Amino acid sequence: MKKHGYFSVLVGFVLIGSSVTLSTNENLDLTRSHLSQARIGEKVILGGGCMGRSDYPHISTHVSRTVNVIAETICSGRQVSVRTTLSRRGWLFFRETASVSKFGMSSVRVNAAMKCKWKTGESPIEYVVESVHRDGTGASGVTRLHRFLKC
Amino acid sequence: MNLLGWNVLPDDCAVEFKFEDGPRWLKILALTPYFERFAYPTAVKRGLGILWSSAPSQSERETLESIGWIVQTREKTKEEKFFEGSLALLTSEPKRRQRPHIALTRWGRQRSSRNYVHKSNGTYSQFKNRTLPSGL
Repeated sequence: MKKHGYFSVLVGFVLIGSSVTLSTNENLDLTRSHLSQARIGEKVILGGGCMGRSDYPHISTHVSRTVNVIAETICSGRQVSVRTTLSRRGWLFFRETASVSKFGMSSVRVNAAMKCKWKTGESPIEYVVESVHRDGTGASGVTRLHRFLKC
Repeated sequence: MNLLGWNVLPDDCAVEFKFEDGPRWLKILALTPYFERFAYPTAVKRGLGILWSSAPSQSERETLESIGWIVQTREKTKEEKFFEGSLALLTSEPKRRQRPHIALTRWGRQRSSRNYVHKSNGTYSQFKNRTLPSGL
């Protein structure tokens, strides 16, 4: 009887846990100077024309049977970077991914690409693009999009 | 089984569904695993399916619109890009970033993805209130 009690408590925790956000240990490499600029626990919008954007994944017109996506970070007069991951949903939770990153001054643009997998008669495949945009002061932004493609 | 909006999608278009503008029962259906697929043809017929296409011919456009699709040929505005999560202002961010919630349906994944973007960027309140942050 007692065992049943423990078991139901355990199942309860598992069910609650599955609805809670999965957190990762993605550290943001904040420098001390950046931390002193930012108010801890509060997000400050810097603006000033610093922004990041991601386009929708699309079938490439240059390289046949390839899906690609463009992402860029723009911040005038500052060092900037972008890291873009293009992923394709597979069976259950398994994903195939392609990541690209790039650093530069004022503006950087990357192009992430994957080979097509879709076959005639299948449902369109879900592609997800996620980009992390950063500038030299440590400020960052995330962009993320989904798209279904026959590719 | 071919279902409009689920596995029957026009080529060369970015597809968007505005289930949030639909009736409550349709939202629930779109968030129900497996049965979600039946929400999509209804959404198209109710004018909740939007196709972003660069240059459809007049006949293509008429055909798509007769089915129920809303065809948009203009470029998305900054506001639309910001709310969908494709455009972000850089923010100072002393917190650790959290992954999107697990969602078992297409629309659920899209919602959780948008929430994740705006929470990460510190623009969640603007996203919820449909206002633009300063700087955009």
